[in-house]
Amino acid sequence: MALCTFLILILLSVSLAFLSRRGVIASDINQILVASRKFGSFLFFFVTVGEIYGIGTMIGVPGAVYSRGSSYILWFLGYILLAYPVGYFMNPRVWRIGKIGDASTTSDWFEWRFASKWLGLLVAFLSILFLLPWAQMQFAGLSIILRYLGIQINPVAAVVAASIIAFTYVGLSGIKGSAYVAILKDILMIAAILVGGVTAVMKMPGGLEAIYRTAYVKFPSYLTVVAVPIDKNVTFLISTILFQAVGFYSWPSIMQYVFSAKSERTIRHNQCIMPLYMLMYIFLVTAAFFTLVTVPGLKNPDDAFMGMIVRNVPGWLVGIVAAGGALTCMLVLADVSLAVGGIVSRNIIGMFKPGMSSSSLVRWTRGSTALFLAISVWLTIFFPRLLLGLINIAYFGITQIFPGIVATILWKRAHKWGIAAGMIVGVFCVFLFNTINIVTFGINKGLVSVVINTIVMVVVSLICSPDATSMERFMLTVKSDRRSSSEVVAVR
Amino acid sequence: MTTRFWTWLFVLIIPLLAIVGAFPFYNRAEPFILGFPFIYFWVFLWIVLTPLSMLIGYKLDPENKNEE
Repeated sequence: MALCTFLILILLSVSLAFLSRRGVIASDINQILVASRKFGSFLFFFVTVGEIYGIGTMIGVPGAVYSRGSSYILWFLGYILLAYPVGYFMNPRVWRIGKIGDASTTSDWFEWRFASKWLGLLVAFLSILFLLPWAQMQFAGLSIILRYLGIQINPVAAVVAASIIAFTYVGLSGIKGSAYVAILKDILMIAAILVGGVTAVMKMPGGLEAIYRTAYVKFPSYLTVVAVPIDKNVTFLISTILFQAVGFYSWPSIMQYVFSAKSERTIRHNQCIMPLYMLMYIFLVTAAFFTLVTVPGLKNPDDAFMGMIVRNVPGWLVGIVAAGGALTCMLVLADVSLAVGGIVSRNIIGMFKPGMSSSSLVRWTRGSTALFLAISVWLTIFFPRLLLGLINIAYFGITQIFPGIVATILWKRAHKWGIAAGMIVGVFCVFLFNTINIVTFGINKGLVSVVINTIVMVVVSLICSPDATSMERFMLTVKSDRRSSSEVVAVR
Repeated sequence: MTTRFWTWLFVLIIPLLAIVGAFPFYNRAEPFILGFPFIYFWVFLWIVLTPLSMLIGYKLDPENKNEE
């Protein structure tokens, strides 16, 4: 029964992808990558919010609450919430620069501002490098979901099927397909999480408060952020919140979504509304605590949410929940692949073959998207453990782009060599800190790398003699967007 | 151009103070409010208050009046 509803919903998602093709000119690279910058509030909301809530939300968060309590979950909630205010100010500027420079990828964005194909290439390389573990993580999440459906499916077949489905999401109409599927996925995810939370409250004698009170009695240290030892934990918490809140916006696919918006105002408004999506955490956390007090001692924290669902909820509903999780995995996989596809076609191939027609670009994008998916599948099947250990590196690594992003927006004197040096040093630090144990006094290591990155960037930029083109372009982005589009085109 | 101070205040400063600044204050389990331990009540509350605060900042944002 669960399997039935599950498959129906998967089928529905694929049909949505096909539906989204209406009105899309499939050979227009701008439409494929950034929907010609036309997404108004409705689609834009679903696309952006869906990107942020991946499978980590549904399985990882309850798992973390179950195994580590509030000390972990609090920084998580904190940083996500604060990321929205940061984005309110940052994303419109990112969009504006993207619009003036006609950028569709992060790589384009840097390349235009600093008039440097090599910088674009560096960013392209880092993006792809760090997105690969992320893609693999989606397969891992998917396999967890499938496990709970109780079906005996050949893991290879599952992975291949998932990548084919992911390809249909973005292979037909690009980001618009992704947006359509995101709507379904968000509905399902919300439903799934509501089911979890409500079930928990209903099944607990004494209801909501009883869940938390019991947890307080049985596991008192789980309810607050425990300072043991005091300084280290709190420092780590705050530095991690700060780090993640800013690193949030380094993901290449996020920039792509920002570019798809209609105007700066759409973006600002969206940022204000997005935190509301976090209300679902109320249900997730409650469900997790419920599992904690009713089934303590689970070997696998992944069980905290899905296990509870399977034990307490009718079959057809389990299928819905599972579909929500599966769609999430495949959608993130799709989005990441599209971002990589865009980067490869525009910024890598495009570097060696400039002036490619839009339809060529689309073909290259589609091809690279498929190739990236194929590589992820291959890696997942033959080296399943390898990349998962690298998720941390992936996150720390991609965040090294962030100082460059800020400098691009705010600093006239930023120099391409500075940006490049900063990124390289930052990434080097990330790998270094991961292998050697260096004392950072409880400060988040990613943050330390970012700080070093920034210092290097500033110093190198100041040492190099000023670059007229990049400073000119900076000035263009600072003026208010009252320029007519003909003026803007002339500059490029 | 009118100042964006108020926007910064409502969009960023207030949520920042509530989540990071007030941390030592809300990092506790008692009292339980609406069934939640205080720490969670506070954070969940700010999931709702942050958008409200941000929208106030949005309405007061001179940059939004610049467009069109």
